Amino acid sequence: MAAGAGPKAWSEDAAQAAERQEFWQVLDGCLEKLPPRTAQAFVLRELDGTDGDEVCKVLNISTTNFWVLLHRARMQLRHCLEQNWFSK
Amino acid sequence: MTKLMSLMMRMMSPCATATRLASESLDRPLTAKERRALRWHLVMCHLCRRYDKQLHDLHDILHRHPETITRPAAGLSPAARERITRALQN
Repeated sequence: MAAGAGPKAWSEDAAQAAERQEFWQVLDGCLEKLPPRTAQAFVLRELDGTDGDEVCKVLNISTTNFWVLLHRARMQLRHCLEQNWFSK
Repeated sequence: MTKLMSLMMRMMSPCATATRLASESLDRPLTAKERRALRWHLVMCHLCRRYDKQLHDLHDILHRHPETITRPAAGLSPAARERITRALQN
């Protein structure tokens, strides 16, 4: 991973952050910044717990595309949380 | 794995491959080869190790507190909701 571009250490344990209401507001804001398809795949899979095959059917995407969307969603969310929560 | 994917993996940097596998391990069982590649890379790369842990932490808190999230504006359109309902009924 290129120096400077890598993930920074989080200033707080994720489980501790999850106990605070403000953290979820920041997470909501980060979800809203995702491209719509990426957000839909992520919300269906990670928040609604929808089966992967079902998500592919609903969004009419291939399994490989589904994995790519989730990978991008996680990458962007992690980065957004790092900037807006875990670096404070 | 398709030929295209295996070609892509060879062209990607080790960290790009590791972060992709770290994410996919949350969605599907990795093959033995992928698991070995990821594990070996994580032993050597502390940034990818950190990335992997942060992804898992994020995944865990979302599963533990799903009720805390309000659906984002970018969420589902009524038409998509309708399609899900239909798909789940079939």
